[in-house]
Amino acid sequence: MSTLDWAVLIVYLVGIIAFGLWAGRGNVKIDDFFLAGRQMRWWAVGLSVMATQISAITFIGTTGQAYNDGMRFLVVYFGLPIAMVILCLTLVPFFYRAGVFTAYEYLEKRFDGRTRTLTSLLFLCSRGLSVGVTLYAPSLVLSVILGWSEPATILLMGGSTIVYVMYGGNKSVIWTDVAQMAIIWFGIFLCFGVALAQIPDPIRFPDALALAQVTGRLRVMDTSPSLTTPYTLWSGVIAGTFLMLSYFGCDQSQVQRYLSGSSLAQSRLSLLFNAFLKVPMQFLILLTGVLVFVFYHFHTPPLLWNRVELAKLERLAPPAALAEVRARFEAAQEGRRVAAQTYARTRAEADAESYRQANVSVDQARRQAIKLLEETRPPEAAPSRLVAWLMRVLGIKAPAYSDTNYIFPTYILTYLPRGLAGLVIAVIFAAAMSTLSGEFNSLATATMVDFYKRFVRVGGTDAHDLFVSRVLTAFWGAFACLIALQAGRLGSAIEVVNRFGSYFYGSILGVFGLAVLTRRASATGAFWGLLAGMATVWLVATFTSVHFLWYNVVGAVTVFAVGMILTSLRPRAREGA
Amino acid sequence: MAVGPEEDTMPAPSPAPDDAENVPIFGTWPRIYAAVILCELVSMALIALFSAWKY
Repeated sequence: MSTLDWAVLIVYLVGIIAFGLWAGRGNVKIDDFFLAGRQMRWWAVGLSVMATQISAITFIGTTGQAYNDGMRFLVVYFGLPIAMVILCLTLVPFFYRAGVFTAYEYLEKRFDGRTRTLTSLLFLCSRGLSVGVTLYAPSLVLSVILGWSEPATILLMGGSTIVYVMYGGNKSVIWTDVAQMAIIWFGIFLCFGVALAQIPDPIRFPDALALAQVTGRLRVMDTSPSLTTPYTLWSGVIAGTFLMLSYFGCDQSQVQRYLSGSSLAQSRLSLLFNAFLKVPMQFLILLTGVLVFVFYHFHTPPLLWNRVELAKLERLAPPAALAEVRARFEAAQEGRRVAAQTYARTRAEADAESYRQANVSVDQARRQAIKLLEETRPPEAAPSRLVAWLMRVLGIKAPAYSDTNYIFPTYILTYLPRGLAGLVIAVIFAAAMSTLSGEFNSLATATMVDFYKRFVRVGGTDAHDLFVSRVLTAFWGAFACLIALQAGRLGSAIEVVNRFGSYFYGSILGVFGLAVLTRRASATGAFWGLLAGMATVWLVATFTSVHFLWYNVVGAVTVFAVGMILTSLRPRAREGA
Repeated sequence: MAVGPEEDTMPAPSPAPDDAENVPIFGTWPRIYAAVILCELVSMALIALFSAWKY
């Protein structure tokens, strides 16, 4: 990075911490600290909801995914507007009327304490571990791309977020999210504009789209009814709706954002704001990835996107084998450039086929490089017995080599003008910090409200509660940093954590469905239904090839069905007792 | 099955009535919900067109 890039990044970091501290002043009670005094306007909450959802890996991962696989991933967001309308009509009014701090607190009012404790505990376990991954993933990418120390990157990103969230609570979270979301939007338009401007003459925008289309990268609407095919229209609309209902309706990191609205109307409007903007935003991010794909037809990409792995390959591979792979890759790249130019000029079907074949040759050459890397680098340490057992039980395979997350940062640092590269790195920081801040804050809230104030100290003073809330925020921030610092050594355990969360996300949605969709559902039905839902998702994940997006549907429907059946059996149980 | 006396005796709380606040631009809640769904359908149609268009 140039001096100007560093200056931009430092100004961002100092500015966002200072702004967070300023915006978060004046907290007296935990209402202020956790719910910003319930005084926020819809547009601020709406931007905060959006910022919490878009993590750094969403930003750099989806552009990389569009580069490799096209825009199919967009369908996942088709369910979001539907979910927002459903939430505005169902859960949001119930939460708001109950005056709760956490979504799980509502379940005690509706069912019983054990349902609240179980769901809140599941949230703490999954979110507490995954927040470490949220911090680790972008830190790893930035440390590899920029050559920074990995622990230093983790501590810079995590530590600066802890400072303002610990002091200012949710007010700081929401207002910094607003600023960060403005930076992210600016960054998205900037990257799109630069990628568009950098496609060389005589290739124009329609030519770039035509090239992407030939390789299938513009294909979004796959109408296959298969449950195993990823990202079909149906999985997007149906399973995507369940996923978004689970995330925005039952995950405290999001619920807490809109509970800060100054009225029910403000909370609803914040969600509907997202319903309007999310699909166009993701479209633009994915299209930027597609443009970067076309851009690299005319500029030579690295053999591997991950610099550290590329250095390993260059150091360890037999020189003759590496030279052969490199020569093949460069020839394939040159062949693709010529084929792309020819097709852009003629648009003839024969030239489209030649271009398609040229793309396949580039992919094959890259796969050969990855194979050579896997053959030459020392094998990774085997997972511990516990992790190996969990992987077997959960049906998880060791992750294959992937450098998708490195594509976009490599492009930014190599081809963006001075100053702008620093700004986009600041955007990646903003995306990571906006997610982390919401998660630290929500983890502290669930711990404080669902556990500490129920089981440890029931009637604490405002000053005491505020102090403990800040300590808990610091604890969860430090815990995330610790997990992130160990993540490299945890290896496959990270996969276990990610998979574990997907098992009960939809099941918790089922419990909330029982709470608000029917007056009859009992606490026992909800509790055992939740366990049955999680078990069913495990069975589906382990013994079928159903795509993971459908797990939320399976979990939610099972919980609802089992909960209703157990509720209807209750009179008979009482008779038999 | 163990059954507690608290079970299913508590009715689900009914939702609060809509706030009296104005809904920006759209005026009423049904209109804004309809606008979201319409916007979703139009987005999907435009994306399908974008994918299928011969550039």
